[in-house]
Amino acid sequence: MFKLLGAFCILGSCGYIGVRISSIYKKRTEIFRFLQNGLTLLETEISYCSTPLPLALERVGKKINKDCQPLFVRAAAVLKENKGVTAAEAWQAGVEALGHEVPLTKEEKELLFIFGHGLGGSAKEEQVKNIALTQKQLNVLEKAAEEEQARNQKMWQYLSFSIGAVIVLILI
Amino acid sequence: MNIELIFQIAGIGILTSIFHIVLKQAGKEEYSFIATLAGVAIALIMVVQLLAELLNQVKGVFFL
Repeated sequence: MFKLLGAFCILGSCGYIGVRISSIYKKRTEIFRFLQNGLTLLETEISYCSTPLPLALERVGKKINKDCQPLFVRAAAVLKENKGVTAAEAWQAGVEALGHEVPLTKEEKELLFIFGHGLGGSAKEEQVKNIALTQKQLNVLEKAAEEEQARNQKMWQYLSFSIGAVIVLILI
Repeated sequence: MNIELIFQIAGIGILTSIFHIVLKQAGKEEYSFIATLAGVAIALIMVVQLLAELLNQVKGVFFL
């Protein structure tokens, strides 16, 4: 009786870990999609409304999906709180905050950092160009993340249950 | 001789083949090879103990 209960516990926990890991892949794809949306919103704020950057970031942060929120909210907060901080530094802090939520590779972080360097330091047209370029690159990243998701999501689900079953078999 | 062990080894064999297929489909051939090797090693460890028992019994038969 206890053996059976333990076996179910091991199977359940291993399966849960697998589902959690596979959900990270899904989250990454979504993050890149919503970041593109966020940049579109930011572009509107910059080019159409000419909103100051802290306010623009805050507004975008309010409108955007929950997973992407830390990036914009943190950047806006850093810009508002600290006097003398550049937009690039604030954006960098935002990217780091996003990195805590979702695992990002070094190249992906680098891409976002580079975008931050063009933020708030030039004319409107330049910034709009910068946003368009970053959106294109994010689109490429989204495609790659989607491919990765298709390959790895199923694998982790099957694998975690099988690992649980092997542990149960060895222990019984 | 308990029959459980045979089922255990059979189960490990089946799960090892599942590992192999899943990892290969995910494009991770090197890991699938390692997983298969680990499965074989685990099964071998179980069998070796039984083999040692068998050898001891054979020795006992001939009073060695």
